[in-house]
Amino acid sequence: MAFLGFRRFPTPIIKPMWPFMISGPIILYLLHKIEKAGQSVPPFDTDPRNPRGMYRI
Amino acid sequence: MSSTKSLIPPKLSVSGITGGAAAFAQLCDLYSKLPKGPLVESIPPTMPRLFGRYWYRYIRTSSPAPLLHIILGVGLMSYAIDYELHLKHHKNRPHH
Amino acid sequence: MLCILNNPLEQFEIIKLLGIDAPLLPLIELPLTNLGLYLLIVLGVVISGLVISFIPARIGRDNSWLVTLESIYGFLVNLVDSQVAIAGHIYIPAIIALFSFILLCNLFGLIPYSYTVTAQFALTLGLSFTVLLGVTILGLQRHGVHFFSILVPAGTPLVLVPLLVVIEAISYLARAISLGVRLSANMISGHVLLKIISTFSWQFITGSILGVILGFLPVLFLTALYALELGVAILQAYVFVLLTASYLNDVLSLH
Repeated sequence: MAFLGFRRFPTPIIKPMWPFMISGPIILYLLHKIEKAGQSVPPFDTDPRNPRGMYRI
Repeated sequence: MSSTKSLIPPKLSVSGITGGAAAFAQLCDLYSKLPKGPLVESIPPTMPRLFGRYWYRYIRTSSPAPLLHIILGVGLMSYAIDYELHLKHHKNRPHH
Repeated sequence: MLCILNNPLEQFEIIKLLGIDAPLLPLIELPLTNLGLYLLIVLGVVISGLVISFIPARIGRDNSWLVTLESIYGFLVNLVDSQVAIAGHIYIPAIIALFSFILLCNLFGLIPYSYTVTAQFALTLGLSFTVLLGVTILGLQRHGVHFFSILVPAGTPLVLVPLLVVIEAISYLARAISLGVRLSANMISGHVLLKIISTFSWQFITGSILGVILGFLPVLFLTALYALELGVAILQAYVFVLLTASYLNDVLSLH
């Protein structure tokens, strides 16, 4: 792909990176689950820094 | 994993030309042969005016000053953010 | 004398700077936190650094920026060469991206009043788990069922195989945790130490006339500590990339 109009760098992107492209969203989803679980534990669920706690949801 | 230990002091060298004074001379020779065109004396007309002047002063001459500008800029911005969020709450008294 | 000691962990708080508050849709949060801001700065610096380095080269002139970039490139090619050999050359762009990201996050954290992105366990553990899961997927795709021979070291007596499989599986999984925790723990400890020492130095200097006279001593110590932290920032980025390359080698060659 042309790098901002400078020159072409024919480096493969999908070929080496596809396992990490699969694992990235999986880990992101798991981290999101852990974060939500942590936000609903009693001392932190009403913390003003917690966006869920702000609205008491 | 056994080869990991031998690597811990980083070997700063270019691949293929490793170690030794002769290799260093070879490296210097390689870089001295790189093209050294004349410094361009005019700002390309495609550049925005403000960036053009910055380009002419620092980037065209490949000076290290942009690093300092980034550090100063990020430092000032961080101080402004930190002042709003933390520092003004504990001027001369502990926080909470 | 009033002693002020602020919480040294306060600097790692994630605070929302801009954001869409959507109380009706509590699942949709789109905030820009201070963490996100510094990630954006790192992204901008990486891209503009590349552009700046290539502008003079385009007009036929070598420049110190490009030489610096080339030496970092050569250093990482050397690293991948020694760890993964020729099969790993396809991963060099990814390794360089990972290295420059971690290095710049560490270094931007050392600017006073700034925010250390890599001190967040969520980010570093996310990175390390992504690396390990990706590497595992790659190994399973390359070797199929034979991938599990990574759990049995060569030349193991048959009696010990069940025990060793358990131990090796635990050590394989522990890599993901240790890779991320190593980076974060180093960053957190260094920044907490700097914060505590600088707070006490300030107390000492402003406390009495003795502090004004001898004030250069803690400042000298702080400077030395700062230099150490600079070294740690670079070394941790290097170690992260080195271990990533080493794990890649493990699954590509299966011992």
